Amino acid sequence: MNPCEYTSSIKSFPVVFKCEKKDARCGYHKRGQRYDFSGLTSGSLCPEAYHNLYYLTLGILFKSKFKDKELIVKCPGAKNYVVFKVGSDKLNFRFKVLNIVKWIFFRFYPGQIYAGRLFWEVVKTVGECSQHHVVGDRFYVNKGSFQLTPDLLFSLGEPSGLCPAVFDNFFPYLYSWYVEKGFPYSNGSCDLIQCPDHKANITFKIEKDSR
Amino acid sequence: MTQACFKLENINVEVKSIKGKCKACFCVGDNFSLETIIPKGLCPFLYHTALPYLAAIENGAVFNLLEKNFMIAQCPNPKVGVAVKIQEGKEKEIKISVVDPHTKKSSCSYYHFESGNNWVVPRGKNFFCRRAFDSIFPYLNALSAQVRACAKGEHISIMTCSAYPDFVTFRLTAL
Repeated sequence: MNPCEYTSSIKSFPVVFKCEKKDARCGYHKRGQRYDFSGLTSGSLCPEAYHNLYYLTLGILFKSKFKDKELIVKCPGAKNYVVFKVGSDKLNFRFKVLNIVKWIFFRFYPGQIYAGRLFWEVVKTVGECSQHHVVGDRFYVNKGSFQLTPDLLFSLGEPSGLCPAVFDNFFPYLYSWYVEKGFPYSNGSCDLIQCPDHKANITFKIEKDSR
Repeated sequence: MTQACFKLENINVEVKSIKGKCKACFCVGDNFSLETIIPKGLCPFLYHTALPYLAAIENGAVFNLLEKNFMIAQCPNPKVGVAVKIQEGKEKEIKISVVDPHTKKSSCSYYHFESGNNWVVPRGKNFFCRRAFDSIFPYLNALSAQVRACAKGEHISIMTCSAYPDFVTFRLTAL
């Protein structure tokens, strides 16, 4: 199982992710929300590349100071591969307003105050990319929406895809989930997997897409 | 409910080639078992979840007000949900520590986690590069699943770490 084969394998058995449980504030998901394969990543970004990119993305969003050289990331392909570089666009009006509100209440409700709209751009391709990425392609990191009530989110103009942290948490298990017909602990019951946030406890049910 | 959780099979990680200069000082032909890659007693799946937080905090991430600048992450198994706190220690070391046991929904069947258990995550050249481990992790799982399913063919995966322009190519072989 080499890179690229992993993606083509998981693409061959379309799955649906359904948000089953939500215990606390989360700007990404509502209970009952469903995602198919296209909602896994930002745009048509290769999921294997996205897994590599997320390793640094979280830190960038939380103001880590990585060296410039570290912010160039390649996908895991050995012969054919794609190289990405981080970039930042101006925030839209909604995010700017939200930043002001967050700044006022930061002492009481600390949260991320974004400086820009983060994206990864393809800067080099070697060989043929199975996901057809070409130099100049940009993929924006989904920063979610603003939660008004647990099941009512106010869109900030981001794509309505999966939370990147949830993706990173279960992407490595997708192939084994398919081969072994479920997670080991499922034992015939629902196939559930949860996000890394222990307060929000967003739990997803994964099932085969029957469409 | 079964007590079984995710599992990795016995897989050898070999440094196949190096392009340029490796910051983690890998050498071609180096071999690693999973026991030498993952901090002793820490679940590999929980470790994988913690990796982006470790990278972030090691590079000065601001998760919260300075006096409590830590992050809590939990394992992907919703029937266990072991939660760990990730923070920088007084001597700039990065620590993973198990938070209160009541956050667990049931016991982990493979690892004995107690409140206060902690691991100091090594930095530097004498430890398997965490960024590289993050890159190879999906393929360790895929290979393990193939082994358990007795899939035909050689159980080998070849991939690189995510660094560029200098990068390391790994060969994973199921033993």
